[in-house]
Amino acid sequence: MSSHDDEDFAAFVRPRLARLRRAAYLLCGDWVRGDDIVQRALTDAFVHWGRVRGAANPDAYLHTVLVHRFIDDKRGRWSGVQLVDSIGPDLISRAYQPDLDEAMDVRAALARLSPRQRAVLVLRFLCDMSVEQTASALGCSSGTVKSQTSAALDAMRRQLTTTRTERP
Amino acid sequence: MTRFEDSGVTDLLYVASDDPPPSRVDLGEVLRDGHRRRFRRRVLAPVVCAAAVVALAAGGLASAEHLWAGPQPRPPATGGPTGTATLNPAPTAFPLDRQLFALDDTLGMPLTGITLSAGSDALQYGDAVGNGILVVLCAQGQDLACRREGYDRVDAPPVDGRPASYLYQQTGEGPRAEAIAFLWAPGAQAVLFHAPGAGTEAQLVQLAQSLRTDVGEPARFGLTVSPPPGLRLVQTSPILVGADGPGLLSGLTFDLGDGPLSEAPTRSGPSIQVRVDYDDVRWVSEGEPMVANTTVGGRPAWVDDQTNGFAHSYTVWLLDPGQPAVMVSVTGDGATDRFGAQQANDLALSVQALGTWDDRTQWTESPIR
Repeated sequence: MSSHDDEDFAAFVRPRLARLRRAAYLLCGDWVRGDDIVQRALTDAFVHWGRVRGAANPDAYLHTVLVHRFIDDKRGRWSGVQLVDSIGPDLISRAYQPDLDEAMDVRAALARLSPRQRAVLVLRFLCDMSVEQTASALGCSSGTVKSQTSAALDAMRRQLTTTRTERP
Repeated sequence: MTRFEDSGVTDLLYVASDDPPPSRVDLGEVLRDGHRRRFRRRVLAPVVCAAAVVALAAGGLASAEHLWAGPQPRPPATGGPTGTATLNPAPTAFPLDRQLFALDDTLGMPLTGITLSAGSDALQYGDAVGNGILVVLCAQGQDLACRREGYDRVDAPPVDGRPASYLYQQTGEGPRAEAIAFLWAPGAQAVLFHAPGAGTEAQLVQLAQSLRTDVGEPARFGLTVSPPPGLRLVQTSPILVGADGPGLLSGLTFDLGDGPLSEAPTRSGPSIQVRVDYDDVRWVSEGEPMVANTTVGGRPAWVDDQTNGFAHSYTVWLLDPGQPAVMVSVTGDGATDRFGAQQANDLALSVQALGTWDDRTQWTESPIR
């Protein structure tokens, strides 16, 4: 519990913070809530800093802590994400803006996935974890990760295809 | 098709490229919260909870019949901003074999049946700073937490006329008082911790002066055990709760029973710990769950034999599926020479776990068979 420990931890976290925030944002669909999850995950990581630092892959360990925090948060007090609803009809009815619409569509499609499916996608494709690392992080088998990845991507594709087709 | 050619992945990464708003993550707050949690883990989980605590004076439960005179009752404190705090009367007698108490108000729960209250000033202090306090009662000289963490003692102003000392720990910023130890009753000491940097020395004294307990219920244990001759019960730990994860434990600590209990035992003195762990999972290290690596008496067990290693320790866990795990650990100077692996295994096999963590109706006041 030394100041050296503090500096060591901060030096490890700072260059990773942006990536952690994006991962949390993709998991929960909300920057504010995502930052809260990152804050708590980092606190967890600091408490177990020796374990994180000594891990074979500290980055993977940190993202695992993040995902567990997200799933705990979801399990504990967050009944669901309705991104489109939360954004509000006024925003949706804005004049057509391709980038904004596209991003909203993707976020909405992501939000329809289960938390575990989102976690699988984020860990695999944003955090660049292997199937095996993702399985280890989520406490499931490699086969489950593969099937969840496939199902999640299929669901996103279907949802986005439908949305894009229906857009005027 | 590579994964990055998948349209779903492309979409995902597209969203990830959104410009983020300014970060709300506060690294300073992470470190402060982390230190608080480390403090609770350090004080509560591995040591104080392990020591949480009525340490028994020489002779153990059977001879612990005399009573300790507790501090004199004081009238409840009144006033103060909260105006709601009331003080329970202090015990006029504190039986050695009565309930321990240890309370961490950051957890919001007493760890035992004893209720502990602090005066309104103290509560105000606790609320305002947002840090908890932790109080441990133990036999004098048995404040293992302080010795293990290497605290230095410095005389403090008396607490209600009773001798007291601050417990300092060296930090990068210099010495810092984290606790005050004071005579609670003849032969018994109270140690009051607060989080590092949470308050001043004067506030520690103020807190100590405000503490009172009511009389607890008899301690009940989640195990029975048949120790062989030569082992002496030196500490009871009916309920041990980790602040972060590990530890839903109940246990006893023995030594090798020669000579009187020292008022100031060495930190590395021999001890034999017997625990029952009601947690579902135990961890060896680095996130490695504990799995059986041998059998003991035909039962699945995890054994860590360091009798020839640096630690000079021997630990055995019995890991019966669906049952609370049983642990016996032999540590300290010369302990494994005098209490070998076979004796530790036999001691573990004699342990019977009782009930569950949630249902303690089967727990017993008499853990020694």
